Amino acid sequence: MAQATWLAVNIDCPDPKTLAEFYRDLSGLPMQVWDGGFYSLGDEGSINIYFQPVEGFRPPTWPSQERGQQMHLDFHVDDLDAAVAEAERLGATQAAEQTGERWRVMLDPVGHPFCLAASS
Amino acid sequence: MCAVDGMFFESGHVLSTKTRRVVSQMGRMHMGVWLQSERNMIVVKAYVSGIAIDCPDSAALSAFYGALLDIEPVNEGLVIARGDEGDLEVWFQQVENYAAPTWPTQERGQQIHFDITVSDMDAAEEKAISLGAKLVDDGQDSFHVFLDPAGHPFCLCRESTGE
Repeated sequence: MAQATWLAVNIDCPDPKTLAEFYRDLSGLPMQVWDGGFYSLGDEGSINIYFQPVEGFRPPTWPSQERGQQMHLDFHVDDLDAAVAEAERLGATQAAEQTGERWRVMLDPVGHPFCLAASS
Repeated sequence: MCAVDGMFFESGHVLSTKTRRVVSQMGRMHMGVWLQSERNMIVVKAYVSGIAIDCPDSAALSAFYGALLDIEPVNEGLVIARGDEGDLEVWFQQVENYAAPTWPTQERGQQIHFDITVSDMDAAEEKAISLGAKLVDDGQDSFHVFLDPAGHPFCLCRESTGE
């Protein structure tokens, strides 16, 4: 039986440094800078978030499927309003379409949707 | 979209109850970490609790990744890591008119993809293909690129031997 374990989530973006710093500041996860300008978030031995530069990056058009989001990250937060304000200060925006009161759909600085969800 | 999101977050609430229980039982941390943003002097705690994947068929795609990782899907989600502040779960979110990524073009980019470490590349590759994955690039020794049954790229990465 081949053993398969989850290693990382890779996020496409136009500028890895900028987006890695955004998610670092949002979550407090430790950031590592690798040779060749690669950035990762997370502790060693745990599932990490990688940031992958792509030429001609085009953000999702969520909620339309013209360019769907394909995937998004969810964050549990203890204070939803404070977390939204902090995310906005870091460069996120609230999505025009909201789908519930206990969580907020946000767009990161390059347009990937992510959710902040009240944890209690 | 709304209905599916609602179902997803209903599950999220169940998770948060379980999370508190896990806190007292687990001694290690994963990518979800409660942290205060000390640098900014603002008390905001956030941790990654889930990754949601859009797809045309939640049951089919959760079964695919469940079989690949030997994890039993629960409510069409997979717990891929456990930590002292909560679990990290992957959710398969069914969307209407799903359109698969056109990777590697940016017409509809992949936006995010998963890396999965394997101890035996040949066996893992055979297993992934038998489950419905499509091999698209095995030109690198350290990782091979596949499409899952809904067309999301993912990589199988050869486990580092430490040599």
